Amino acid sequence: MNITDLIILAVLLFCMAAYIPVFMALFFAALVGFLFFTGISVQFLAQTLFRSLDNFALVVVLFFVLCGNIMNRGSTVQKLTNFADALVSWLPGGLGMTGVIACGLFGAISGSTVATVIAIGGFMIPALIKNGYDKKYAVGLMASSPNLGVIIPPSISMILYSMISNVSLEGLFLTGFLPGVLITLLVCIYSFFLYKGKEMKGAKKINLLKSFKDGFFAFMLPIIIFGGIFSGMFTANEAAVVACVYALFIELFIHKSMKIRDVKKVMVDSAEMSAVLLLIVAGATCFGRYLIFENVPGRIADIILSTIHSPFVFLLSVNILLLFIGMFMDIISATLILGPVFLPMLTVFNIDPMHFGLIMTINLAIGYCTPPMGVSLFITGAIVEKDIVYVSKSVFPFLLIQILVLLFLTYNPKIALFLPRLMGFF
Amino acid sequence: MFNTTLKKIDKVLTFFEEWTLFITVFVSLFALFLNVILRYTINYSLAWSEELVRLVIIYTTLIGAGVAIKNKSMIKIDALVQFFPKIRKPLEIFSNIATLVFAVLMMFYGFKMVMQMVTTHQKTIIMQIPLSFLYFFVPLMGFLIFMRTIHIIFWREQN
Repeated sequence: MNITDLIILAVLLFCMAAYIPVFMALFFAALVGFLFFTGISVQFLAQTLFRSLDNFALVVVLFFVLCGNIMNRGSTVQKLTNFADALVSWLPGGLGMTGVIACGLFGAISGSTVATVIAIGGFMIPALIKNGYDKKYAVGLMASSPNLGVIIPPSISMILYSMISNVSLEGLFLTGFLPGVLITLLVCIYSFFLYKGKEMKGAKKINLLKSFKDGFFAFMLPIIIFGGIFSGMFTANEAAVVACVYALFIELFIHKSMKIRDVKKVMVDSAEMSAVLLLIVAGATCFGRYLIFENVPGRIADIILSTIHSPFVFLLSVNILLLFIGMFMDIISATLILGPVFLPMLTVFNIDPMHFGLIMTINLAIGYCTPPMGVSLFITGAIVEKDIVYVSKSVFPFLLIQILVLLFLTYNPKIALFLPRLMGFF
Repeated sequence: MFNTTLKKIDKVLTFFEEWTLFITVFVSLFALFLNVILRYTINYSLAWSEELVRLVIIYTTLIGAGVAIKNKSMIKIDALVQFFPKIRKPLEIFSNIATLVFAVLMMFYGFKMVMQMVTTHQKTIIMQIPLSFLYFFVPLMGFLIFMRTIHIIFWREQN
């Protein structure tokens, strides 16, 4: 660390804290760096911003966002939630289980945490409280479960990680299922024992077969996406395109929950949402260009490699560092900036880049609900009108579950990489 | 008077952004879907579809920026604002000024890049689209962001 690094870091943190959009903060930090410390013209940066978007791989982001929006606008999400409800709501703590499973299913199509907190937390928290669940439980559950949206594929941060590391995207997607299922399962077990023997109001009888029939076309969507990708029939971006066309078709003509004129709105919204994400990619590329120009990743690697010698200590420090950074920074810029810093060190410690991509994704996702700064905490806090201390306390058991799953998968690479190895993507 | 001008400009920009974004997304979805079908039926793939989609990604991202500024859906780090709600207002003003600076930079250097491309006559490989046309989206983004930010700053003070 020399003085110029500190100045650039200060500029970046200042811009971010000053409520400037993240992509601009990254751009300005790079601008200051290039202008004052390298003497390269600003035009180079504008060019980098443009060039970073000229990338065919980025199209996956647009179409997965579009697919999620179509399903959200239509009735697919509702149908999937109904099925989850029919499946578990008769158990003790069943409505809580519905909440976490709904987040998992929604995450499987949208890939955004904040959207999930608002979409599902907005109606699940009041529903849970109304049905006699503890307020603390409801808040903690709905602040933490949306993280599944980032962990369960298709995940936008995984798409970007695979872009910078050349790890197979299909393989990386596959690693996300295990932590997704583990977290969901553990939260369900926790809910079961918490509410075992208590009489709850929400336990209604729903016909499982009927809700399955009703949601049949909605269920086909994840099957098309993942079946298509993992059987090798489609590449990830073909799967995204086919899923969009399929989702449009069923919402327009089978569920009839969308009208033709809604199509324009959905597409414009998706273009906007993908623009917000891809601009951060562009900003992070500019900032990353500066870091590489000044050989910052190399110098950080030198420091780390001279102080840390065991892979165990390395992974543990990465876990803690990313948990901390995940609180402040959004997952996309964190992945794009820190990925290139860590990647060169992996071979020294004999860590597989695909495994590391999974660790990074879960780690940064947990940052969304880590006290005292996680974004999800503030959103759920606003929903129930409670302060950050209350939400932080209530999220604790759920946070613990996610951290345990993270640590388990961090130190058991064989288990974490079992699925991609089985399917031949590793 | 000023208010109605703002409203009119906003209407024109919204119309332009929404229709062009809709058409580009729709066309790229259609082209890629067609490509999948052709690949599976007659084992043929459209050479131009990849280039078209790259163009669409650049266009939607740069033009979508204006829409996102207008709808205030840009990702911002709001930890500080959440802890100290009192400083929200001054920070918003500061951030709007920074956004204007960014917009001006994009217009200026974007335009410079366009002029460079005009003199070198570079074209894309398959569709033969002049690169100056593609680079033109950069100053256009700057312009849209600039107009939207002006709108946000003055609209609030009027009400």
